Order: sequence, then structure tokens, then C-alpha cells
Amino acid sequence: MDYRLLMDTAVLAGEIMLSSGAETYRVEDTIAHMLKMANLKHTHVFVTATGFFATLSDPNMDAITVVRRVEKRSTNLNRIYLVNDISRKFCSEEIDLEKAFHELKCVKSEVQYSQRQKNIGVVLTVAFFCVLLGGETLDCILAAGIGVILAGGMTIGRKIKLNNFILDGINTAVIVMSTLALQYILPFLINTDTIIIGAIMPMVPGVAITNAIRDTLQGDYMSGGARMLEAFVEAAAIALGACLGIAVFRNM
Amino acid sequence: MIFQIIGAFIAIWGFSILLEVPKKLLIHTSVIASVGWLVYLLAEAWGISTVMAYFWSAMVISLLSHLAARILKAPVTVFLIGGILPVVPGAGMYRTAYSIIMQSSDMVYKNLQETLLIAGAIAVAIFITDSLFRLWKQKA
Repeated sequence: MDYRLLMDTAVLAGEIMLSSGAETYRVEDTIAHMLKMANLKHTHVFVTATGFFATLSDPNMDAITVVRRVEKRSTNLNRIYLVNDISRKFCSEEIDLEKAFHELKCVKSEVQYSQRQKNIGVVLTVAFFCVLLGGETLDCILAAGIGVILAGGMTIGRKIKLNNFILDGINTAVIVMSTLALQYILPFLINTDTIIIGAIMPMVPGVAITNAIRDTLQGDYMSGGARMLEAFVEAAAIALGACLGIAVFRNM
Repeated sequence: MIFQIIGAFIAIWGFSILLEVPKKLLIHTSVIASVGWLVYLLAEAWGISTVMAYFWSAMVISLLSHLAARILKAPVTVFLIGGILPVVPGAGMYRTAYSIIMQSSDMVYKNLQETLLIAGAIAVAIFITDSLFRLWKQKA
């Protein structure tokens, strides 16, 4: 077996998973399983929330060690799903190493939904979370409008590559201000609370919270702690944005 | 109530697109989220406290996510992240921020406490189901 290629394949799989928002222990598991296919004496993997090391060695060969730093992270569950599938097939010897490597290369740039579909997704989430929170018909229609604003804000933010925390803060502030403005135009007709809460849902750090819990349970306290901090900071950004929005509107 | 269930379904459908849930699993994620929300509504109607209602809802969502993951051979995350979203305490977060800006410290305390309790309840629910399925995996 070509150990270098095996290492490249395993590292590529790990890189895709980590940058797509998989739990740390799952990344560790996947890389370790793939490396163990070599049947060498030592395979060690150490993954943190922002990068990993992996090493493969045997008494009669030089160790192969790779360090990868994962800088850009965004949630893409489809990539996690596909990598998981490829790694499972590879480990049960359904596909060979070359094929696995080739397929992983394809997964790396896999995107399922267009920007427009994602924008529609934001509007749907905002409008129907309003239903879920007990909003009335008018609230939900207005929430859809707020959703359009949020989708616009997210698109602009993605283009100018703004830091996520600042982007979420600004988007929340804009949402809060526009909802309060709506209330100013239509007093007593709408529930601002329901609309605003529905509108911040797409930004709520659900991924970070879920991963923090699951990583901590696996005994990976470093990543669990890092993810908890991530969730907390994201939540704080939204809270600050909301405070800012209310404060600005009241002083206008 | 039916409107709310449909609302949960469509809201999570939209959110799953943002998360890039695999196309063929979109419907599963949305159904799991709606069932979770149904459990929450039933628990509330039964007069169970809000935090416990969120706990049972999160419990059902993570159980279903684990089952779906086993049956459909997909990572649990694919179902769990989208499914758990309706119970994530976004409302509590906003109300806490709102009461901070309104400078009513009673409400800050009350809202913050509720938000943390709900987050804790969800965490415990995920802990329990994860551990249960871990045992099952070891036996198999």
C-alpha cells in the first residue's frame, strides 16, 4: 500500500470534515480509521477545533507526519455526509485508495444549493419561525420581509468577507431597527418580539452548541471548551447587536 | 397546533438549505424537527414546566436523529443540528439582551436563568441519548 497516498487521503478527509463543521471526535475517528487500514504499528491522530496532526509509523520505516491548519470554517453537512460515506466504503474495502482519494477531491468543492436557494431558505426560516413562535398572519408576512433584509445582509457580508461575529451583530441590529420601524408605522398591529426572535434564528449558534455538547461528552474537553466559547461569543454578538438596534432606534 | 407543526417543518426545511443538508435527507431532518416541536407543544399543554418541555423535546429529537443515522447510514449531525434548532433558546437570548437594555435587573436575571436552564436541559438530553447509543454500539 502507498502510505503517502493513504496519508494524503486521510488528511484530506479530515480537512473537509473539520472545515465543514463536523464534531472533533468524529474527525479524529475518521482519520484514525482510514490510517489503520495500513496495519502499521503506530497511528496517532490529534484533532483540535482549528487544525490537526496525524502520524503513521512503523519500526522499519520513517514516520509520516502531517500537520494541517484549518482556517476557513462554514457549515456544510452534505460534505460531512459524503466524506463519511467514502471513508466507510474505503474501510470496508468496497473502494480502493485511488478511488477514495479521487472522490474526496470532488467532495472538497461540492456545493448543493445556489445562492438564491439559500436566500429563499433564510426567508422561509424567518417567516415560519414566526408561525412557530405563535405569530399571527400579519406578523409572518412582515417577518418574511425582514427575512429578505436579513438575506440581503448575509449576502453583502459574504461578499465583503466580514468577520462572522461582527456580521451577525450588524445583521441583528439592522433586523431590530427595521422591525421597530415597522411597529412605528403599524402600532398595535404587530408583535415585534415574535418577528425579531424568528429573524435571529438563522444566526443562532446551533451548530456550535450541539458540537460543544457532543465533543465534551466524548471527553474531548479542549474542543468542547473551544466550541462552547464559540457559541457564547456568537450569542453575545447577537445580543449586542440587538441592544445596539434598540438603543439606536430609541435615540432617533 | 397543526399550523405550528407545519411552520416548524417549513422553517427547518429552509434552515437545512443554509446548512447544506444532503438533498435526499432534507425531508427527514424537517420531520424530526416537527416531531420535536410537537412533543414540546404537547408537554406544554400537559402543564409540564417550560424547561422540562424543552428537555423532552430535545430528548425525542436526538433519539430520532440517532435512529435515522443508524437506518440511513449518515452522521448523526446531519439530523441533529437542524432538528434541534426549534428548541435552541434564541428567544431567551433576545429577551435577556432586551432586558439588559431596558435596565430591569429582575428581568435580566429571570431571562438569563431561563436561557441557561434550557441550554442545560438540551445538553443533558443529548448527553443521555448519545450515551445510550454508545452502549448499544458496544454491544452490537
